[in-house]
Amino acid sequence: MDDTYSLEAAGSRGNAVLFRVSGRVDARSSAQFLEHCLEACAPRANLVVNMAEVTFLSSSGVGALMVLSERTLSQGGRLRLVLSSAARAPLRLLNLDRFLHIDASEDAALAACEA
Amino acid sequence: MSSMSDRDADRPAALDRCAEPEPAGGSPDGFALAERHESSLLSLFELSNALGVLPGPYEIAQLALLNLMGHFGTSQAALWLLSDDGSNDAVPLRGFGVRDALLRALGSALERYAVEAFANSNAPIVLIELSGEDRAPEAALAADAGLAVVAPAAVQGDRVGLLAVGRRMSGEPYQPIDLEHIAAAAGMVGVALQSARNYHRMQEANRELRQINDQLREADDLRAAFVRNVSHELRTPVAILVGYLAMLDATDLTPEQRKRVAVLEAQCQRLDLLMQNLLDFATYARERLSLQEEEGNVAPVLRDYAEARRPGILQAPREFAVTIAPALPRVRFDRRRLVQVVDALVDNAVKFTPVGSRIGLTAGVVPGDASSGVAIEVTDNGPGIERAHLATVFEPFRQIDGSMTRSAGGLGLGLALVKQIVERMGGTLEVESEVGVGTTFRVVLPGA
Repeated sequence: MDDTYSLEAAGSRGNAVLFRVSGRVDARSSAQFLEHCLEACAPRANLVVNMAEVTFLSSSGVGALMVLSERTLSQGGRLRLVLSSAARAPLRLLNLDRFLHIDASEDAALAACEA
Repeated sequence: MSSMSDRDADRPAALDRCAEPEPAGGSPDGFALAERHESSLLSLFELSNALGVLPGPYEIAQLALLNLMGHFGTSQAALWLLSDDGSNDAVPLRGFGVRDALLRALGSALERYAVEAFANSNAPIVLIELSGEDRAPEAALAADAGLAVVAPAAVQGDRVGLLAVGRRMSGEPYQPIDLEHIAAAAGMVGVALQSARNYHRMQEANRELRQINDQLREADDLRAAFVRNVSHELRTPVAILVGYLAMLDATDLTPEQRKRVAVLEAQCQRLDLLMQNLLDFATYARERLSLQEEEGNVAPVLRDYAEARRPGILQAPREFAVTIAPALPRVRFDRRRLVQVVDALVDNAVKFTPVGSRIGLTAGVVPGDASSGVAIEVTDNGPGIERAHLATVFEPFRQIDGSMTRSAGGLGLGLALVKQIVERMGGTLEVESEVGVGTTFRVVLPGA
């Protein structure tokens, strides 16, 4: 899989804003990742971040997810994640997978936002 | 957070591999501990790598906080920069999950707290576990805002910043290994902030130097403009003088009077040349000299010049020996400028040698890489130039101290100007001198 970080802003789907991330989300890319996603944060907006193509999620990347989770929650929305196994590992280690909303697929995540 | 309530809903997969289930919020067992150690190292490694290339304090803060929040699974963290003027001001660099106004207040409070709390040790303090007397109001304020641990970002004992991380989303307490991690990260952040601060100071110093340099250049421009104006103003009366002297010369004069008029005329021309040099220099410094270059043989130009110059030199008798080699290679030069150069060098030789000295003008071939060039030398057997002064003879307004100079007069512009003209023609100007033996100035023009 390609390690190069890239972020696709896939636009609004219902009441959710969808991002697709791939490659490494690490110290190099996490600040940029966070900045782009924060721009999409609006009151009561849900954020779906599809990380199915993420090859590595470092502490900095997890930190960005922490910020996004807190921000969406404080604005009455939700952060929903779709994870690759590489992205899931650090979240599991930190026992964070119980506190973040993780869905099996992008469709499931979007559907959950409609519910 | 609503999701916090279903903490025990399902077991994390990583812990399912453990023999003894770990109660949530308790200490991790051996396997998980090893995994955490590895994660801690990876996280610190990432932080240290990234901090090595970050330019500004804001970026340092952003990265360090994301790294720590990610490592500990908290949505709150903040970094304050301490001012280095001893005022104990803590300026928020970046904060996540804490409102801006609170962030500022927390910085000041925590720094007040830090003065005593970190007086003897820089070990991180778990604010949420403080009780009794240890629970200072400042620490309580931070703990109530959700910040669990505070650590000084210090370099060799000096606090540069304060770092705080929030409660963990999992509800797990901060273990000793976690505090070690925070201490290590805070140390890196301290070093990074310090070098950012040093870098900033260096930038500031550079900027000041640039400013001073600009001011000097401006002053130089002003000086050049002043010199230009003055030269113009001075040349006008000299031109009028020359005109009236010519008219006087045309009248019926006694031989004695005619001789005196000739002296006056010579001195006027000299004055005009000085002025011309001054004007050229001022113009050059500002706009560079204009050149009208041609390709050809310098020999006729030099011969004509020597013929015209000879009578002047012989007035206060000095020997003037001119040697021009046959078949000089062709070079590119500006006829008028070349005469100006040679004249300045000869003038210089006359000025700095006593009556009776020998002045030589020679032109010869110098072998070049592609084609041969021409070397024009002006030599004298005068007092010579001391080694210490040789390096500065081409600097403007520079004349060697001493009685000879004062009696010689001049503005000290000649050689600086000469060098600039020669270099504009693509040539080089060198000087060799030995005290008590004499001096040689060598102009080398490359072959065309």
